[in-house]
Amino acid sequence: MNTASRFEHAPMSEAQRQRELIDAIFSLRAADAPCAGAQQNGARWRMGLAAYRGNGRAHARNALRVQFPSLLAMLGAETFDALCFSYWRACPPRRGDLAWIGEALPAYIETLETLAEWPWLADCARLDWAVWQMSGAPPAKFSEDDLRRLIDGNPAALTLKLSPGVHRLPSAWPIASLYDTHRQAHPDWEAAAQAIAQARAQTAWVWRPHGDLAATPVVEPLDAATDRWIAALGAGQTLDLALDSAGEAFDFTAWLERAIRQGWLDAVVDLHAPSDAMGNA
Amino acid sequence: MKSVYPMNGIGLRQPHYREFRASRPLLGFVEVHSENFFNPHDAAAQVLAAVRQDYAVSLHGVGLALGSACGVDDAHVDQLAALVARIDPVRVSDHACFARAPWSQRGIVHANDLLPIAFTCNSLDILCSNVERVQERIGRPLLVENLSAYLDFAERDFSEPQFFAELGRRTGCGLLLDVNNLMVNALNADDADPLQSVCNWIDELAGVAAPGLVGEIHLAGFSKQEGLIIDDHSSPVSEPVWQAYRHALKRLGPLPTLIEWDEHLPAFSVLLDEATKAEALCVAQYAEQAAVAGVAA
Repeated sequence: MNTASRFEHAPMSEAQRQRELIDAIFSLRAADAPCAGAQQNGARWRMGLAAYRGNGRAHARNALRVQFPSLLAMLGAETFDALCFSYWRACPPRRGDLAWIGEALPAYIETLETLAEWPWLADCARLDWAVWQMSGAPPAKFSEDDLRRLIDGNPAALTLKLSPGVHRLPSAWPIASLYDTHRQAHPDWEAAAQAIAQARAQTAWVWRPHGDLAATPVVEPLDAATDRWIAALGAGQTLDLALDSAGEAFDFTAWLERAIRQGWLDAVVDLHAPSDAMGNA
Repeated sequence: MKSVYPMNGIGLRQPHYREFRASRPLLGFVEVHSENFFNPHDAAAQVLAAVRQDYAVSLHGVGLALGSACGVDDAHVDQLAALVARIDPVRVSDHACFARAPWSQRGIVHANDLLPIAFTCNSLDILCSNVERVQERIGRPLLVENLSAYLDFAERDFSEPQFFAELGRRTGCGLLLDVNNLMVNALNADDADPLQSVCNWIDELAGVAAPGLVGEIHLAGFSKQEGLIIDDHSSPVSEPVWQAYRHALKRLGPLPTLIEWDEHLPAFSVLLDEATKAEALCVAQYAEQAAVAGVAA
């Protein structure tokens, strides 16, 4: 260890040094003035700073391209990358795990006047994010005991707890159709444009295929009755009330058979049993 | 898979998964980026669990930001600890960098990059505190890697080898010696003889570090971009880095060595060829040491 600092300036705290470099990387100000304490200045400082800015942007862009594939297809690479860069600056990452970098992108899109002409983009981004989240969701725990409880129990006391691998996303736009269109090898652009022009609202149902970890989560539109049913379950309503919400058009038996097969259910919860009710909270 | 002698490994990246599983190459270990396997429920976790049945796994993180003055992220450390418990890795490592700091009105942000720290007493205190916290949580020592830095700080109380020697002495952690990073730094510093600079760095480390401080060596390729040498792991290990590696083996003895390749991934066989080359150099070093010992006896 040196007996005396070789630093020509007054020693500065590491916290201050680090804040200044972070500010230089993320802020929009020109890179002319080196942050205090940096060994480099002039062109060499600008090159070093550009390397860090470039790394951060590239990491963000690469991760966001994976997390928002349909948004990427809608915007095209150039516009998408520009969006990534402005997002990276406006909403800097908060975690060291890039898997979470896209968490705030849908809300950020809603703030951008430049994208206001395409008001469905934010919900399309929400759908991409839901798919990304569902691709790593824990498996459902639904068991034979749950099934027995469902058969024997009182619909006025029971509810169905949905699996962590499913997500219901309502939108004023045809987001499930747009998602599907932008994943096709030969998209039907005319149909997509028509759906948007009619401002057709859709609720997207995202679910992770049961038992196939490598499979991409499925996205499908919900019909109105099933949407009301799932919304009621999501709100913790009992089966009888949820069925009332769904209406007569809803085929509970067919839905239950599919829900069990696809792993949409996590548990049958008896809201009158204290331990179950707490578990469903 | 029990190997005859290999101690060296490769970075296992997603595009190579299928070929890796099919060919089951003879390797001392495979390295993966810890953060890519934090989620125990995704497809990648399943791949890693299968790989772990046949190979030792070295977990190499990029997100702990061990040098951050605002501390490490507890949630990140918890996820790493859970991964360590699931995989029982042969080594766990991250970098001597910072990335977390308060910024503007946004609270603490994470640069998702390996930003340089100063080699000062204050910085060493921060790094030691964070390393100890992580080691306590994961229940084993860390290896901390020296950085390739595109900027650095004039204020310093230690040379870099002294800094790592002191870090190891105070925390019990080891050093992950990235020889390519040393070369990148020497080139970016416009050193007259970059190879000699790197060898001098290694010599100094050998002189000040406790025996066994270095737990693993990293080798990789770099590229030149807009006037700077960038440590992008995008190409074969350069000849000067191989020469520096030979010098490191002479001074430190044979050590588990990783070939890192993250950008512009080559054919899997190219990666294996690089690992084989490193292995041959380790074997040659063993032979040389044995011969010297024989002569001495």
